[in-house]
Amino acid sequence: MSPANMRRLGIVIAGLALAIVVGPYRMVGDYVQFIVAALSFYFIAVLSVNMLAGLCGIWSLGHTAYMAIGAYMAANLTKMGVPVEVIVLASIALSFVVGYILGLSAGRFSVLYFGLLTMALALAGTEIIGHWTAVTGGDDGMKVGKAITLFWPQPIETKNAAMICVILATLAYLVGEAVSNSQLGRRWLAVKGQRIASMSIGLKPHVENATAFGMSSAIASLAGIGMAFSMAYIDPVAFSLDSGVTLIVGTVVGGIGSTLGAVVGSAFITAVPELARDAQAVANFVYGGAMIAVLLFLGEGIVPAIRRRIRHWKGRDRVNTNVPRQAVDAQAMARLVSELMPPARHTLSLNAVSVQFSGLKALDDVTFDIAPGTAVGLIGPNGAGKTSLLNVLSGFYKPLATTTVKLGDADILALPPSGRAALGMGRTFQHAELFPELTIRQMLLTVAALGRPLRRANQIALNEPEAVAERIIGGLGLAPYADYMPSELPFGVQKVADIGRVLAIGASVVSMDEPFSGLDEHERSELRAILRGMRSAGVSILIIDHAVQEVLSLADKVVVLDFGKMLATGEPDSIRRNPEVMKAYFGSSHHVEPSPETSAKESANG
Amino acid sequence: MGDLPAVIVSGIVSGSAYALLALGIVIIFRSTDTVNFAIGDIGTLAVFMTATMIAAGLPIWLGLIAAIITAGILGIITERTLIRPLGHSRNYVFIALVVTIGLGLLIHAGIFVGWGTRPQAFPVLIEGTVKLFGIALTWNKILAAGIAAVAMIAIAWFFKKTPFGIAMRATADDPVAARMVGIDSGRVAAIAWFLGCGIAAIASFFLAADTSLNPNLTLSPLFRAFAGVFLGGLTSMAGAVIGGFTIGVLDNVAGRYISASYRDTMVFAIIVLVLFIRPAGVLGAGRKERV
Repeated sequence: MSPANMRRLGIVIAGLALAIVVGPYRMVGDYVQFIVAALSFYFIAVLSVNMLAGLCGIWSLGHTAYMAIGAYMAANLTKMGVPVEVIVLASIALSFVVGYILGLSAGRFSVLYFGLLTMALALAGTEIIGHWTAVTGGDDGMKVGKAITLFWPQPIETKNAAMICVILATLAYLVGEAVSNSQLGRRWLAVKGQRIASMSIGLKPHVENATAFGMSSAIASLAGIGMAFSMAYIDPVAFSLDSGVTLIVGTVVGGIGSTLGAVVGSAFITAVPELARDAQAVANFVYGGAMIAVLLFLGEGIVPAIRRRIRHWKGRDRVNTNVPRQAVDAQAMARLVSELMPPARHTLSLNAVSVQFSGLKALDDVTFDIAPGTAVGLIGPNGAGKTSLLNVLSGFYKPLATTTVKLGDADILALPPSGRAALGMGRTFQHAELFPELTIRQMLLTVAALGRPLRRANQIALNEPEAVAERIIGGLGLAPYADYMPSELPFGVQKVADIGRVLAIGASVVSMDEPFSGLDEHERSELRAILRGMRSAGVSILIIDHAVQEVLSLADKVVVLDFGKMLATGEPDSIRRNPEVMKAYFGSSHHVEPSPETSAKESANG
Repeated sequence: MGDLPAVIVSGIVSGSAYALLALGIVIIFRSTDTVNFAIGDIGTLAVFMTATMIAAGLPIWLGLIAAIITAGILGIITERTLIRPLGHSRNYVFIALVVTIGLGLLIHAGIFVGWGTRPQAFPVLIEGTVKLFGIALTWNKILAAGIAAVAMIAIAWFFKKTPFGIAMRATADDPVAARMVGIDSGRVAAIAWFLGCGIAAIASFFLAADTSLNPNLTLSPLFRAFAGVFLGGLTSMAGAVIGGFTIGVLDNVAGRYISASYRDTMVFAIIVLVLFIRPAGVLGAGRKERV
């Protein structure tokens, strides 16, 4: 049994044991039952907020609204004799739908908007509870009947409902752990860290945000159910904005993005009001003070801070960069590429590409083709519009209406960035833009899973995400770095990992933004081998770089841009001798050095 | 529908408080990438402090100025002690937002300890009411709207015409380039927090004069101010002001003709609707995300 499964089993056993202890056999007193119940439903609620903050960067002040959905459904459906199991399913479904729709609305913009939206949700929720008296009992609150269950002949007494809370909390714990360690959680982390780059691997950030928000809402509703049955009486105060803020306190104090942190956090918000009874101001001082102190001094909360300390003691926080390097094996690189990237089948044709930034024409009528399996180099001085062109291709900039870009018959501009990735268009970034909260291995695994349909359509034999990730890690010499976060790695390694990312998606038309910049000589020769490998595999390449000799020696065709206009286009040799290009580039008509080997000879007669 | 003009006018008048708060939020966000959830609480605390001074004999119009300066200084202190020490770490934008939520809790607790929970009476600047399109508006409200307008014009002038205002806009557009040409980013942040919290205090001051002084004074207006920010975009000052006024009017119209007891819910519905229909900000305030 894997350690993860062992842990899951442990949680299930512990949860069941606790459920029995606080259950109907009167093994503990009422107060213990009450405390365990409160801990459990606060844990569920904090976990739902915590998950969202940790995996998506979304801070919700409004999760109490979903607790209200659970609680009032429990109160009303129990009156009609509906068993608790059905209530659970119904409130999960309703909360997910409401959460998903709200998530879709704010997800199209910045995650910051969620903070504002959910504040509004909390206030609207309170108002609805206050006025919709037929269902909620209004400000007076309402009584909740005993829980009826399919697995027990008698209804469950209120104090024994702690058992229900513990079971729901165990379920929530398992779901939380599973999501964080799954492809879903990794995708959310990718979107959280690099919204732009996540689109280039085919993710739709607003859909990921909406799914996360929906799931987290569904979990929060379980807290409401537990609360309703164990308190026997529901009071609108429990669902106010202040309570929503308390859940944020629990999240921050325990630790953002940590299931265990949610345990600590919920213990904190259960204990403080118990210890500071009759002194609400004291509780608020403690809450506010603890929250700010944790954020200022511990960063991401108690549990992650302790984890970091342990990691530090074990000496696992330093990457060994003195890894002996093997000579670059060009053939092995070519094999790696051909195993992962299918040959391009269609011509990418750019027609009259024009981009305007309020008055400034960044690109003006740029037209060229990239035939399948060829490499086109795009060069030009700084500000020529090279990166803008790449951003048009990736879908991050919107060109003027006269522009058309087609891959075969497909109108690229009509597609969102994620749709372009699905057609096999990939890109690398000048600054690597790796996902800051995923290790290299996790990133490759995530991307490889997203690249599955594309590889299947292209009949690529190697398709299992784990196998693809391992192949890339081995092939690119990333093994010593695979389990580190990008920020812990040298820049050159990050750039190589970025190339690993387009390999993992299985793109057949690749644009590269200054792949040579920031690489040392060894990494450069690795990159050369990869680029040659892509060419022999039949991948189409668009490469931008200031390392002009590298571009000239690789490309079949070179396009020269200057101030957004096409200055020249042609084979590398003709570009090398073109006096206008020399002038734009160097201010005078010096020759461009054709290759590193012959540079000494050339520059002598420059 | 005969009273529509009156409903609109009174919506504009209450909208001026939302517009001020929204403007404060945007000014602070543009300079330090912080969505300040405590902006209303800072303004409220300043008004509590000046209420004590007014009770001790300070003339009320001096009280207004004192409230603005107090809130501004509280803003500067907040930025220095709570926001700047966060540095520019990876999740700075989210963490800063949560820090301000924590600050809001502290301020609430502080007001509770200092002044108790009972709402306090607060003097008005001018007494009396005026009839406009058949509705009665207090002079206090009209004066509030007028002062809000003056404050907004002053802010616009500051950012358009003064060298420091222009430097602040430059910093918002490109912090790195601004630093390279020698703009002191610390001063930019301090001024932004001073202005943002200062104008929030104007809103709090008149809200208190309108009803009474209580710790939750700005809760419902702040929520409407955020709705205004949604409408205009987080980075557009003009958008925030127009958004704030628009929400004031929509809120009033909906409250009058649809339902008076579901006003928050309708503002919430407007927010969700705006998010769904707007491609990149209804008022054209780009989709710029400074993350």
